[in-house]
Formats: sequence, C-alpha cells, structure tokens
Amino acid sequence: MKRIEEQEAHAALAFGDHDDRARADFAFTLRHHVTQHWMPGTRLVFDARARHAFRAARGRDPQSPDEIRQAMDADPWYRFYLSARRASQEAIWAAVVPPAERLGPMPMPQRPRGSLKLDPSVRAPAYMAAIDIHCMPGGYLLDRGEGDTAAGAVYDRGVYLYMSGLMGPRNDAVGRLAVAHLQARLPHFRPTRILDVGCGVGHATLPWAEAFPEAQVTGIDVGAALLRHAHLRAEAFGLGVEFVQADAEATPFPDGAFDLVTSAIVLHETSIRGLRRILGECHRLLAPGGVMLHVDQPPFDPDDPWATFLQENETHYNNEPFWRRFRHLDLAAEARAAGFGRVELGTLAAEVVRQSQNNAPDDPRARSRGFLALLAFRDG
Amino acid sequence: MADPFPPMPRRAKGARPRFHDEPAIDRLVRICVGLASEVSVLADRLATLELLSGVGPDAVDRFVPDAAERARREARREALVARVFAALDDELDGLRRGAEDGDYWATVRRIEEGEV
Repeated sequence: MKRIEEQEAHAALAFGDHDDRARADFAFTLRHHVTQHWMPGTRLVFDARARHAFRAARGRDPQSPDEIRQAMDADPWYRFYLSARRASQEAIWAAVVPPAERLGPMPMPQRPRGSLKLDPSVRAPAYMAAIDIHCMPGGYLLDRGEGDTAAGAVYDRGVYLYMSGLMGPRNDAVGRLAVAHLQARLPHFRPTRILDVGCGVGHATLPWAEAFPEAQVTGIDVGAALLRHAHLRAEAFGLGVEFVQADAEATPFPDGAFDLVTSAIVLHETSIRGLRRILGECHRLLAPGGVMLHVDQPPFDPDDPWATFLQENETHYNNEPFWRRFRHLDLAAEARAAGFGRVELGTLAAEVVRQSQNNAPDDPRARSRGFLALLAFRDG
Repeated sequence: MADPFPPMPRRAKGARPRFHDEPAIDRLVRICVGLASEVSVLADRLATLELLSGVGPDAVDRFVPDAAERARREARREALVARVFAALDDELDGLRRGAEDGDYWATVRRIEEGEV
C-alpha cells in the first residue's frame, strides 16, 4: 500500500532541490518497506521462533501483550528490525528538515480570505514540550520568530512520507473521513461555526471549509510556526479559515461560540489530564444542541494481544507518550464525564487507518478496523 | 542574505531507546540507513544527469521527475533497500522455508566424518 502520486505543491511547502527531493524519496521508500515487508515479518519471527523460546523457558505460550513483548525482545531479528525502524523514522526528518530550514521568513498573504491570530502569551501544555512527538526534531512548538513556518513545513512533508502518501496529495484523508461520517450520521445538520481543535497545519481543517463553504471555520493550535504554515497553505488552496493560536484546554472563545467542535488524530497526543480538560472545554464552547466529533485511534481489542503489542510499540519507540494509555481509555465515559448526554462511537475504516495502526496487511481482522469516531451532543 | 533564523534542531527531544545490548550496533544501524540514503540520492542524481545529458547542475536542481520516471525510481529504490538490508530479509526467508541453517561446524563435522 503506497501512493507514488506526489504531495500537492503549495506556496508554503518546501521540497528543496534535487537531492533534497531524492533524500525524501528514499525516506518514503524505506518507510514503506518497513511497514509492508518487515513489520509483517515480526509475526513470522514470533510464530517460528520467539513463541517457542518463550515456551521452552515458561512451559506455555505468551498470552498478554507484555508477555509477547518479552518473547520478542529476546529475538535478534526483532531487535535489529526495531533499530532499523527507528532509524527509518529519523531518516524522514533528516530529509525534510534542511529544505524547511532554508525557507527563511515567509511573507504572509496581502488580501487573505481567512486570517491568522498569533498570541505569544499562549503557553503550551507541558506534555507538548516534554517530548518531540513522532521524533520530529523541534516538535510542534519550534518557533524562530516572525515569518517562521519551518515546523509546519517539516510536519507537512513528514506526514506525507510517514503515511506513504495514503493521506492523499493534501494529507487530508482523515479530515475527509470525519466530514463523511458527520454527513452520513447527521445529513440535515449544517454547522455554521466550526472549531478544529489541534489543527496543526490544517490537514483536517480544510475539508470542513470545503464541505461547509458558508460556515465560519476556525482552527486552533499552540504552535505558531504550524499556524503560519496553515494560513499560507489554506490561502494557497483558496480556502478562508481563521487560524488562532490557543491552547485547546483553555481557549479565548466565549461559551457556546460553536455548533461543531472537532479534532482529527489529536487526542492521543495529549495527556490524561489534558484530554479531560479538552473535552470539558469542547462542552463549554458548544451552543446547546451542538455537536462534538473527534476522530482518533480506537481502543485496543482485548481479544487481539498481538495487535496491542505491535501498536504499543509507538509509545515504546516512536515518541508517542500518551498513545498507549489513550487506547486503554473508555472515551464514551470520558465524554459523559465532561457533560455530554448522548454519546455515539463509530468506526471509520480506510486504507490509511491500517497503515497508521501498524496492522499487518494480511491480517483479516485489520480490514474491519478503523479510526474511532467519538460523536457527542450537547443537550439542547 | 544572511538567514535571520537560528539553525533547527536535528535531534528530537526524548531519550532514544536502546535496541541492542551493545550500543555500537544501534549506531551502526543508523549509519547504514544514512549511507543507504546517500547512495540512493547519488543514484537519483546520476539518473537525472543521464536524462538531461550535458546540462549544468542548476538544471538538475530544477528537474522534477514525471510520474513514469517517479515510478521507475520507486522500483529501483525498493530493490536498493532490499539489497542493502538483505540481512533482515535473509533471516525471514529462512523462517519462511521452515528451516534455518544448522550449526556451521556441526555441518563441517558431518562432512568430515562422511555422514553426508
């Protein structure tokens, strides 16, 4: 599963020169090789070797994700695979950082359709500053001053390479899934004030602006350079979005300011404390009758310890500190605790999901898996 | 024009995990990936030079491969990754065949002793 179709160019994207492109192409190839050739090989190593070594020592097969991990950690192929996989992740960033670094200060559009409001007084939550998620050097918060878009340019290219192009030329597959889910579940709902929480560079924000052209669409994030890039990118694609630097746990908007609050693969990058505060803030920001829709990784399947073991590797080895705990949570209960009366959980299945979940392409159970859609209603 | 921005970090915040008891092996893996990347870049550059034959480096830097050329390069890079990292795939092939090579000196002894 990969798409050689190139990422769609826009004014803020930095491909660099010939060799920068070639380096990014190599990172793309290696990443795809890791997920499609070696990752499925882990199961072969388990069945042919690690399982037997564990049984020889303990008298039975490994049962839990932790026991599978113990068995696999002892295998030399698996260790080498993990080491190479980590290096392949670092190769993505090594390829895309230099051309982004060379961008220099980017001029903002003169007559934009949307807007950009930065607030230097916004302080990022501690979990965002503690570890650079996905091993992206500098993380989401790197801001070298006015006109700096480098963190956004790095992230925009990095997502495309990491997801083997499956996010589409505009990296918007998850946003499109979210829009389609809302339209399928609530075909008569026409939100007029939409807030995208943790919007990053706007990958999942723009599909909302496309689907509801009459709506006022707002994206918030704590990273200033991400938002500058998001603003340039949205304008380059001809879409008017209001980007505001704000912490999703405590936004500057009044009570009931929106009728749809959404996020795409954001909540698993927070913390247990942050998640609860964000859900509470979503409830405060929604007008009576308003809708909350978060799309993110689904909870672990207790009947599939192998899948849990593989996916927990993101926390172990890819700087995803909250990923593991998040996937053990009962999100419906969390939404109810935040004040939402009616809560629905849905599954959004797509090719992009299998890649992001480390699912083996030949695992039949993986085909029915998808992102979790958390849909909740503020009482009217 | 001097770049007004300080350099970007090249290293992610968060302690790097150790995969091997001997840290030198993890370093070697990173070096191998880095070398493989540079070889791939050189090969792409040669391919571009061959295509453009006789033009200068500026033209090479401006060159963007079309879809057909991108597909050819993707296939070539796939093959390169498979060659460079053959150590990983070789072992999987052995497992797929259901038989790993036996102990080398045991085989030598069996040959020396006339058992095979």
